[in-house]
Amino acid sequence: MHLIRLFSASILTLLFTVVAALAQDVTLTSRDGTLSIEGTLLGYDGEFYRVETVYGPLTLDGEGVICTGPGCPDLAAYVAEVRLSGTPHMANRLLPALLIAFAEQRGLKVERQVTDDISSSFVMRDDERIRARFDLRATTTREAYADLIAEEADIALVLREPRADEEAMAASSGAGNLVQGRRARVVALDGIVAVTAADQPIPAISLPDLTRAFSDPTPNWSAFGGPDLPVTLHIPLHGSGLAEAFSDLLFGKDRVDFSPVATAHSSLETIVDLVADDPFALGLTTLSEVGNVAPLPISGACGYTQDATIAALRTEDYPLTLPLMLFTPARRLPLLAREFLEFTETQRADLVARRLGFVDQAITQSDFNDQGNRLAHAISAAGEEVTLADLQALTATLQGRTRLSTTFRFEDGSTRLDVPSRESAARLARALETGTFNGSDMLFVGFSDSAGAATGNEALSKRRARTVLTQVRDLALTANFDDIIMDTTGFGEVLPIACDDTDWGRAVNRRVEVWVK
Amino acid sequence: MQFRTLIASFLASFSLATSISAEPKTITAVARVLPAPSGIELPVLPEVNVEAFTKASITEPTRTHRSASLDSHYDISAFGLPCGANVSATLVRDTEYAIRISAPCRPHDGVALAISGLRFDVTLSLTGNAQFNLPILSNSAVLETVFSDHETHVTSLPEADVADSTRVAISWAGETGAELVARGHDVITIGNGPHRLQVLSINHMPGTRETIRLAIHRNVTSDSCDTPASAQFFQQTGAAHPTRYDLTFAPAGCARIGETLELKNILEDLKLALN
Repeated sequence: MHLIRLFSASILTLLFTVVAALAQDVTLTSRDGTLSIEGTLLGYDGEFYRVETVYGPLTLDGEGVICTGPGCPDLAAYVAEVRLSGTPHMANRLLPALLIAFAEQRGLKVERQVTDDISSSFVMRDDERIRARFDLRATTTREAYADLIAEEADIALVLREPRADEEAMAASSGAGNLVQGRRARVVALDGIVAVTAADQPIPAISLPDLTRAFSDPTPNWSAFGGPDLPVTLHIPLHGSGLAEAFSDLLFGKDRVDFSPVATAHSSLETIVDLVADDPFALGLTTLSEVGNVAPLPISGACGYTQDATIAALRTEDYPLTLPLMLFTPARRLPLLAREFLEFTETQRADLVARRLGFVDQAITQSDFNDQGNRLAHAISAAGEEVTLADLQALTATLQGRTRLSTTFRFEDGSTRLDVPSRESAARLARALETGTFNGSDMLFVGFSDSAGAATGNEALSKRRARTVLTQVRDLALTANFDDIIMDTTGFGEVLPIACDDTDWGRAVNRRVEVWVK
Repeated sequence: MQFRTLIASFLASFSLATSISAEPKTITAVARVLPAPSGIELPVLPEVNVEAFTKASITEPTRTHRSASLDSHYDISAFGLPCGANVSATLVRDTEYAIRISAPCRPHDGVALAISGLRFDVTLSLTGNAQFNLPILSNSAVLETVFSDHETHVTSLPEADVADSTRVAISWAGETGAELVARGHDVITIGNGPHRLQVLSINHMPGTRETIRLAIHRNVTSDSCDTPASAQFFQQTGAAHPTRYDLTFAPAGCARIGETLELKNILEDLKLALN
């Protein structure tokens, strides 16, 4: 299906190019009349003309040229048309609320035109006329990438980064490199959670048990410390972004799939409502959609248990984080679409996300005294390699400082920041530019997992902290660094926040935190 | 049922009229005393045994000149009440207003009301009265009442504390066949004219967490199948800035007459006491 669509798109592009060579429907002339170029209008976004010319496609600033010819748009009647497609997890709640808040902020009156339960248009107008129309369609993460590549969507609402096959499709169709540049914006975070009814059989579940519970052909509570009764599984539809993200995080390495006895549902509401009524059911949903059931904490073999809380998601200390992302194409979007994207990074958008139960990207601070659990765990995990002197040095450095929620993590086996961390770097850079941390002393503190020698890990953690600091400084072009003290240090494996017995645990422990005073 | 209501209103009006009339004069029919002013259809009461009321008190108007402000109305109603229209609002149990509209010279008048950008219509009784309870939507609001002759009353509603509650309201325009549904909670419908207002009002209980599923049900009828439905949406949680926008629903198509469409993804579920 996707391939057919992409093929069609390529054919259309080819045909269009041929037609363009034949039909010269616009002439763009510079305001002083000295330069002009002819071609076929590919698009006008309210600001720029895109014209197919004998030199290839050109983009010209509308303010600098005068358009003549039958193809010229009516500048006074221009309506920004923006198509959004993607996961119902974002399309049903978050995007409508963001679009309405965006319109309100711009002083535009908004009308939501509902076609059916999955398609709506948000028509925004001022006193004079309609200014923009955002068409929103609930599909899936995979469908959204296909729509984006086939130019049937301008913004994709996705729960994961593009997979290799999607990147290949994009490259072959001319849609460009999907992972290059800042194409993904994390608008909010959510957590993948396993949920049980209030009178549930077990208090917590480990990641390996979670994998087994959802993949076992005959799951039984006795395997996880509960009674000898079968587990009734409720999961999101196969192919949904949530099911794919869960598979990527937990099933990928073991090459397993969801249990054949699991019942798939099209809505998370249905999953949590069924689980709420069945004490022996286990459901897969997100923290924002727990309805009236309870998320299971994630336990580790080393005794460390992590609750699915908003604070743990904000710092990405909870293992199953689900970034809600807006993915944009390489081509230029209409001005109002770009302004909407910028709006999603504002405090007002953060408030919308928070109201809906998502975790916003706002930078918050927690006191050193709130780190009791982590320090207790560090003390209990200390041994030959982590000494009392290491712990004392850590305490002496961090005491008196507060920890920012911004935490940086890295892609597997790489010094490249993962998508949420790249977003965090951009946000922290913006905060630096707006003077939020003027007069502050910021310390970038690196940590590592416990694989390998402690001395090597310490050096590695310091190197990661320096890498992150450099990236943030590079992004904060207009920040006044004369008024901010910035430094780095590293403590290796001294302060683990998860057990090191899983890939996830080690990945979470490899991090750079920011402490300010 | 309608007949019983009619009789009840009629009797209520008599008792009111009696209490203020000094020298009651018996009449045999209302329509004879007051010819219907233009634009208002006075009630015809063929079902009522007029003889039964001949000993009751209905005051004949003592003044017959027309009011300056109500040039199409007499100053005294058919039942002897002053014609002046009045709209009052009283706070009840800190959760709703008791609204009383009195316009004695506008029997059965269709009145358009608007609050917080939401419209609903109320038809007055035979005696020109309407009483209903209106859930509080925001901490300060005005109620605009427009009679069919465009006379407009603006009533400032008493200030109310809404910090610990969430209100969702939709006003529907015309016979849309659509309604707001909240699982496990009652939605109140106000208005008996073409525009109806539906309100869900939830008081937050400290220490509890609840998700309330909101949906819109559309009954596809021969009247509504080929026309779009339009509505205004309002939501306010606590004292936060309210969310308002217009909603339109594409026609369902007349091939689906008799079906009830459930739209579950249009409105946000309410998540109470989550953060």
